[in-house]
Amino acid sequence: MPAFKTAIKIIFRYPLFIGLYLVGFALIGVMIAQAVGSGSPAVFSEARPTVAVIDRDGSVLSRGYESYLESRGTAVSVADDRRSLQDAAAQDYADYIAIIPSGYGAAFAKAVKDGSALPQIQTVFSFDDVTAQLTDQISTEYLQTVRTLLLSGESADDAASQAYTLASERAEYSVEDLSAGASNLSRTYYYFTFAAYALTAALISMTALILTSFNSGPLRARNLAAPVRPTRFSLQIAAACLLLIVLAIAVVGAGGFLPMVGASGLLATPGKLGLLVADMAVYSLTPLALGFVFGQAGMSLSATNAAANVISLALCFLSGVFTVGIELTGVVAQIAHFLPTYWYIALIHDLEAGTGTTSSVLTQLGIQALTAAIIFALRPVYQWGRFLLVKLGQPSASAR
Amino acid sequence: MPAPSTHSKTPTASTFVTTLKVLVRERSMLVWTIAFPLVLTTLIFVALGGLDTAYELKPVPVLVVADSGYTDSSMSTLVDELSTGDNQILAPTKVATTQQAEDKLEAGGFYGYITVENGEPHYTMDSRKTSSNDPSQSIVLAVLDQYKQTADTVAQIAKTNPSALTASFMQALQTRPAYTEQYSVSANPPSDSLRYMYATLAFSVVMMSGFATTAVISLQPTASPLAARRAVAGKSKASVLFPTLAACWLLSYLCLIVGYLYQRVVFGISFGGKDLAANAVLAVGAGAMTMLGAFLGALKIPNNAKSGLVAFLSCFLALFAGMYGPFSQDLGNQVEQAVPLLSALNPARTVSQAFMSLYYYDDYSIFGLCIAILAGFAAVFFLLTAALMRRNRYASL
Repeated sequence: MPAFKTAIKIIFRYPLFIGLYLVGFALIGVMIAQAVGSGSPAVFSEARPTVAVIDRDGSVLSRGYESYLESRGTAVSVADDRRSLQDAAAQDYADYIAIIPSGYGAAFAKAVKDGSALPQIQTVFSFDDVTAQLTDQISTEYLQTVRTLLLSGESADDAASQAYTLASERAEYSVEDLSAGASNLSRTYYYFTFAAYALTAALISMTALILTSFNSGPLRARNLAAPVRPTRFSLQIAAACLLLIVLAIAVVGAGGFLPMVGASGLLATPGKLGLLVADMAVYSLTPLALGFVFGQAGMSLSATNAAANVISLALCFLSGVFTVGIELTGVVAQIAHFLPTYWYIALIHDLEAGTGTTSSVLTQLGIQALTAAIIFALRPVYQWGRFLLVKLGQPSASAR
Repeated sequence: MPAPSTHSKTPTASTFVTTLKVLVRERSMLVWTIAFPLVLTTLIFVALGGLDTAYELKPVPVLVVADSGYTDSSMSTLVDELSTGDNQILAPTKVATTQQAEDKLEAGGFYGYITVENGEPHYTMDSRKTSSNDPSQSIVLAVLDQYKQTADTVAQIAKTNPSALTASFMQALQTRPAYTEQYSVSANPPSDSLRYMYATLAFSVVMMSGFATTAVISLQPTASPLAARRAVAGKSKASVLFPTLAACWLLSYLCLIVGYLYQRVVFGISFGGKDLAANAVLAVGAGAMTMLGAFLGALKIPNNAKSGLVAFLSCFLALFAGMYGPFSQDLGNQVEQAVPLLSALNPARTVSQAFMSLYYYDDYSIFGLCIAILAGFAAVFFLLTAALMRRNRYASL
């Protein structure tokens, strides 16, 4: 098995390459999974917007308003100047910024008593309009209560103080369990979804590294002259590439077991774990095939790495890897159904939710395997086509 | 193809032109490098075209059990008021009984149903629509809270000051005046999809370091017979390095311009109307990444690993520029708030921030800072490259 051994040697001659691609990408996955708010399967947890209040008034009403808003969200500090406000908008530091103008408390009380137009609190919405609108409703809750108390004849300060307690009364709710097993997606789910990107980018580049090394000028000539049948030689390289998949799954998969990623239903039983590994293994065949094609086509390693970036990001964007929680619609959803990454994620989703069936699992794995087979076949079909064209061209040449 | 004649050129110009030609003739690399921002921009536009609308408030579809408990309460007035007009936040569907509400909820299409019993509101939500990414359920709850709080307040007033509950008081309660008004602080309206577009260009900027890595590898005498001939050509390393890097910078900048024009012209992506400044970001960014690429090329590690290093760095640094979705954007923001220096040292983040500053800010101070950081980055890596290349010895005595 000299070719197999050499291929393995090539892989381990570049520990930096393996370290960066496998460990590095797994690390990126861990960071992204950690950035996901909650790692535990939850029922309903109320949205807590990030809010900043700029109080230019300092009245009892403005302080009560600030306390109330901050009790319902996460308070962040934004300085009272245009630059800081622009910073907050550009960096998305706050979903909602409330600017209370000077003299607001007194003007509000007077307007309610007189029945004239109320002074307005200026608000800055982030691009997340939904969360900002929610915060605006929370603002209204407090100010509406203050207004009601003022209308009943309470003084401004008393109204502001009582309103905090009254506005803290919440309506009751319950959650109707309509989907057994469904829960918020876990960190582990996000991690293994992101693993699609890690596996694609890493395996295209690493497979191409082996193929590029074997296809470099003098070595290729020696290999072609060696007394080994091409099929046997290729099978040895393929075996080394399969070992690469095992290595990639071991390293990337191990990241999913780290405490910061957290355990979920995805890793609950040996059966699910087995299916997860099978999903990763079958999916890995596609980037392996792509790396194989690029390597065989004689592309340089720099070009292959650039191609790996384009292809891995394209597959992942179109399959929703980077936009978990935002539903793919229209033409993108239709395109996604033709991509192996989509089916890789679909199987993970079914495992997480416990909704998979034998036929759905077989379909998901089958489509992934079929995609890889088509890509693997590209070069032989191309060469066969060229061979046929040459053959077809020969009679006409001799006729001349 | 005949070799280009460079006899009439100075050695420096000759090196510059030859390096440019060598890099351009490496077609597959050039094509993929140019293709990156074009493909990604198209995909992001197609896949996330509706991203900004995804964050726009759409009326939340809810069921309302319109029995006597509901119609006799002021909840019906509140729900009707919030179901019309420009600021509509609810899309209610009335049903006669709780059983009908449960049946419709199970069938899907609604977030939950509202009931009012003995003046107390209750909201039953669908467990399938409790994603932490969707605040719609919290919005419905906030509406119910408003009703309950007003009802509780009136009940308290009835206990402590019943004479205040006059007809005019009750009439005033039926109106919901505006308490807030929106105020714009940025030069342009906030947009989430722009962050992806800017991150794509920032990713492309970092990828440009690949040209310099390839070019500097080709300067090392052990890389190839051609490189060996260049090494014994009697020219100082500096006189070869400068035009080589200049050629890499030019090619990088031109590639970035293609991506920039594609975003700007084909998809109408805004850079705050400051196109000249945006080009300056690309030019300085290309310079910084040329120097980083040169440094990687000069490192004494296997050459095959260097292109992998470039590709990985692009992916890793783009993580903090927000390339990989909302969580990656949050991570980038968290790092910037916790360790601003570390964030500034990330060229992908700095390029992305420079574009953001052009879009959001009135003045150029943040932009200037970003340009200065990138220029400093270029200077540091140029010095490091020069030091590395000066010390390298090949088959020396």
